[in-house]
Amino acid sequence: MKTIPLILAAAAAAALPVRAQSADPIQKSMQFSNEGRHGEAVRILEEAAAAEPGNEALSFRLATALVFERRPAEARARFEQLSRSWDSQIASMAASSLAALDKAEAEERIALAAPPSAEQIRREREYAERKARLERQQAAYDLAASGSDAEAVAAIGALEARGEALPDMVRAKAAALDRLGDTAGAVEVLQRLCETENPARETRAQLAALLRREGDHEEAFGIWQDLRDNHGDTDEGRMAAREIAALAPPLNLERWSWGELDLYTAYLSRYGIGVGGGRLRQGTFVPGARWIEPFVQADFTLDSSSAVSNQGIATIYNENLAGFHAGARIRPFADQSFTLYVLGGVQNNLRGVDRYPGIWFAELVTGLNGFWAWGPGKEWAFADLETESPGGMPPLPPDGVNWIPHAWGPVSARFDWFTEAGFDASYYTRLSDCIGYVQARQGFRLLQLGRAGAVDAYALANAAMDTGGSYYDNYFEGGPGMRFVAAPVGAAIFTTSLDYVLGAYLGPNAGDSRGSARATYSDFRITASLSLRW
Amino acid sequence: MAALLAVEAGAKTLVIFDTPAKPFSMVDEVAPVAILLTRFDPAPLRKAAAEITTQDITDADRVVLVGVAGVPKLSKEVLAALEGKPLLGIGAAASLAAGASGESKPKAVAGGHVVLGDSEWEARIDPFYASAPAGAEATANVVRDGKAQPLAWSKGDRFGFGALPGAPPLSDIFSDLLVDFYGAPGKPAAMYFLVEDFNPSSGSAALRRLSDYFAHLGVPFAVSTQVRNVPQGTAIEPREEFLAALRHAQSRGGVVLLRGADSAADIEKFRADGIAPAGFDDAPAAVGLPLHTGRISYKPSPDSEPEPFPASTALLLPDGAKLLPANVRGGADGVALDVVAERIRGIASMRGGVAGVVIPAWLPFQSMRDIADAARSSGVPVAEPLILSQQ
Repeated sequence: MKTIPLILAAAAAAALPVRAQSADPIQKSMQFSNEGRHGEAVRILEEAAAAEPGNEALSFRLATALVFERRPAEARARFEQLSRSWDSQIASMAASSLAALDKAEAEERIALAAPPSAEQIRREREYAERKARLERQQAAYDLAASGSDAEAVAAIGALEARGEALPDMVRAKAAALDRLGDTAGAVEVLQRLCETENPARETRAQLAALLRREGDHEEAFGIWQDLRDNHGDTDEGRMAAREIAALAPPLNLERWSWGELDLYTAYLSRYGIGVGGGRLRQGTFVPGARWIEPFVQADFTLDSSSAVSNQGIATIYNENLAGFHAGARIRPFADQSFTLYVLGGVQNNLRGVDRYPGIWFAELVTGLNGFWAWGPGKEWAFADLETESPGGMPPLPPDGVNWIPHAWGPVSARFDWFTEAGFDASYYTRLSDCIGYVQARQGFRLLQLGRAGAVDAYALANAAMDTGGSYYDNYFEGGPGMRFVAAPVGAAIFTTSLDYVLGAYLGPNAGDSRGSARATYSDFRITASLSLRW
Repeated sequence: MAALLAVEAGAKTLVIFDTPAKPFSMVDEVAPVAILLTRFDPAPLRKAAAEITTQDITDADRVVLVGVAGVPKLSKEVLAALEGKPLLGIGAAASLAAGASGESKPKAVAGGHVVLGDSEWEARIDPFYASAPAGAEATANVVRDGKAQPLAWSKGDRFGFGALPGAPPLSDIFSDLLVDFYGAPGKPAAMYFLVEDFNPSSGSAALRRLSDYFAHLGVPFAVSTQVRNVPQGTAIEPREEFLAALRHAQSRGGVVLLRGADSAADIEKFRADGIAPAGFDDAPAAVGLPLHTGRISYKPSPDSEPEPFPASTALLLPDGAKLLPANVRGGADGVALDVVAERIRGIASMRGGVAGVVIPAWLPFQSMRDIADAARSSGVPVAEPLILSQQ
């Protein structure tokens, strides 16, 4: 870019040519000077000036560094030489510096000649105290930065006792305590800091995160709410809004309703049939007892054929029932999926199979259910969010159902492990039977497509048992599988999986219903499922 | 007095300084003053006090005295020649404009506020020279511990600025004082939008959507573009899609600027494809089109690399064209969204302040829109860049 002759100080630049190789010494010397390491700045500039004796800009910088290194005689000699420069600007700059040097030296001589006043003594004492305090604070910072958590906690504690600990130090102490496993101690430290007038937003955000982990959801939620509502324009306010938006409904104290939709369909090669099922559930929370979640639901199960003629057996999988239920589930641990539930309602067989007459009948189901996942492979990576908002906070999700499309890029390979386990055990009045099953998957997330898709490979193991002794409710099976998980919009998750299992029926065969089916089997399955939460 | 001082074509301003830098420093304190003066005088003459003759004073319409390390030493004849000339004293030289024989003692003001009209900034001022004479009218004050002292003042044809205006907010307050010094008509503050550096690797979808958004709001804007080599591995759009997006922006009220271009051939390349460039971005030496946006660069010290100067008004280029400043930058390498409106309001508190809101063309549409919305929330009127440059 061309520049305006006057304002670019082009004359000065032309008069004081600096070769490219002198840029580095100048940068280094400026860095040393800024850090108060004037001796090192002088050494670098002396070398550079010796290499370029005609460079008056370098000489000026050296003279200045000599002043700060308290070598006034050498500085004076250089300034005097520069003040005779043919370049009027450098000459006037050197003359002005010489005058300032004269003035400073005169003031110093007068000060040395006179005995120190009470004010000077007081100032020196205060300076010494300030210096010692800053050194103690710096030592604590250094310990925290080096990861010596126990030592940092002790050092900051000592500073607190002296009333010298700054809020960011106390926050560092809380973080160190947390890393040392003393989260309760860290919470106590931050709560004490929050009791001071106008606690920093960072302190409150840090406290909320720890409280959340300690299980004190209510206080954590209150802090996030305040940060979001009263400091929404700040990083902490936006972070708090994200924390609240990411909370599961039971933990989000502003939410009074929740909803779930689950649909699935599968092809089972061992029977040559297709099966399906679904459930739409809408619930709420009991005020004062949010751990109780009443709900109503509509549900159905379906199969393409309930009689597998080549094996001489009747209904073996889905019962082709559709019904309406009301119930409640109890969530003992607010941040876990484990629930106890009871629901009752009416059902009817809509396909006229033999097992149920074509009339509506009442039933009751009660049981427990849970699902857990571990490992980095269960998480979405955040690379895609960064591309949506480069350098800034990720965009805030809107309230309510989120229908924002997710990006399918960037595509990245991942080899993050995961383990999943789930179970359900229930008693069904329509069957007079108690049926339980356990499912587990261990595998790797292989590929991620932005926030919208992922490919997993895994080994699966399933087991089922019942008290009635139906052979098809008592089995163990295992094998490999792959799945494609897609989240194209908002909270909707569409999963397609391909599994191959080897299984064995485990003993009971009540009513001799197995027909000609063998005790062991292999099964190739294709499953598609849709899950939506709001 | 305003009529007497009114800025006239070819106004000659003489800048006299004692020394370019403070003692033990190489930072040029006079260069920012000279840049700020180009708001009204495209080519102020800069001279050291030791070189000044009475003829220099006679030839000048206005004189600016800059006291960087002390009051510039002038001969009695030169001082006599200054009588009757509009005079602006800066830094240590403010006392000379105030008519004092000696120099006021400088002091550093830390933890104080600078107040200009209804706007207020926290600022450290070092050095500060309290120099206003009795009866002076202050346009800006330094307030500390509830006590106000004039920072920028005027009395008749004498003007004073008690600090060195190297950077905002001091440079903005100094620029505001120049409106009185040059007797220029007061102009309202304004802002304009500049979508910066749209090129074949930017992706045209975001520009198209932003153009539609601006058209929907009835907001004019400029988009600067260039055809350039992009790093290997960068996805680039087909030429037709790139050009079509520019035509789309044009059809939605956007004016197209050539970024860094300075030849007639560059203009013709675009004209042949139905795009009518209206000016240049970041090419202040370019000629042939009326609109200029971007930043003036200068060397803070003789041996440093050029740096952009943070101007908050339009500046005159040597050929008389105006350069609209690009001074409020959004996006990852700019200011946070929360600060955009505050920055614009600060600029708008100056008479004739111009906020050039830069929206990097590589941003996704949502981020572009966030910047535009944040800027519009300042309440400062959005101007059409071409009209703004001709006012």
